[in-house]
Amino acid sequence: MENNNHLPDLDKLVDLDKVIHERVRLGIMSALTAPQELSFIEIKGILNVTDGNLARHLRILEENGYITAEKKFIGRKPNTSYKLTNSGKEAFKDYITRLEKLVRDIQID
Amino acid sequence: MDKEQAFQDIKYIREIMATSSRYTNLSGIASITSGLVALLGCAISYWVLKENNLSPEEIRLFEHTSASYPLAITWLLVFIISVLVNTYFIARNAKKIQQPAISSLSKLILFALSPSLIVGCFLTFFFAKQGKTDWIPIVWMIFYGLGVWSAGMFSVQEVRRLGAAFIFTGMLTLLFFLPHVLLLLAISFGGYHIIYGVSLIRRYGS
Repeated sequence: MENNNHLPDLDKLVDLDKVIHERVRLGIMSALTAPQELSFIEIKGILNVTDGNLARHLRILEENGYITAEKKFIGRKPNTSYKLTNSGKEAFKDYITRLEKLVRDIQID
Repeated sequence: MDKEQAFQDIKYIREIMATSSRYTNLSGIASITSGLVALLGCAISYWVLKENNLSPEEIRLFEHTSASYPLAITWLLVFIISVLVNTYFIARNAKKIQQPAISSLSKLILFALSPSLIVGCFLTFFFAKQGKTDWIPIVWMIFYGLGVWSAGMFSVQEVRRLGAAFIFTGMLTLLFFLPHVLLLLAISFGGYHIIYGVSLIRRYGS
């Protein structure tokens, strides 16, 4: 294992969704699966990433229609909140299913 | 190797999901303050009962108003002060760590709490009217315990322990300690909150 910050090259073994198969984006999708919605600051706290890095990956997920952003304010500070779209939920479910299948197949081998 | 990688991936998803669904903005100081306010409420109640020469099971809400009204006002104030103190410290902590005071998770927790609170309020009024005043603290212990236990599903172990302690104390009081219900009220709402608050501060530092 060369680098702990990178996800294993599972996408080469099995057809995993490239949009989700990246450590920060997988983290965002996982975090948004449990509660209904989370703010930028909440996600940042859960994943321990920098503002710039998080913003970049949130934008990629948003552009792919997996999450939606809604501008909100805490006092006067802007704090956008994010939630999964239906297609985002489907994509994440599909990702997990493929991952599960992969583990099962390996165990049979 | 491949298997190891897939497991690592799944483990990561599971960890993130657990972290994002656990509420950790708890305040030990707020809990200790609530405990002290509850103790004060018990002391006032003891004094009101003594002045009126009544024991808890003798009071009817609309008959013995010289005792029932001061008691009702005292405990309503205890409730309001506790809610305000907790709201203040939670909002302050949230601001400190730059989190919204009302997160989606806290909404979920309020939703989990609400049935126990509503039934608890309903039974309080019902027993007060029926003259089962000595059962009211037991209603509070059991239904508050149920609410805290449910809320604890979204939080740390200490919260669930607090809930369980209240539920058991309520049931044991009903079985064995009904004549000493005021003392048990002081031990639970006063003592348990203080112990819980101290353990939060020792474990998490707030």
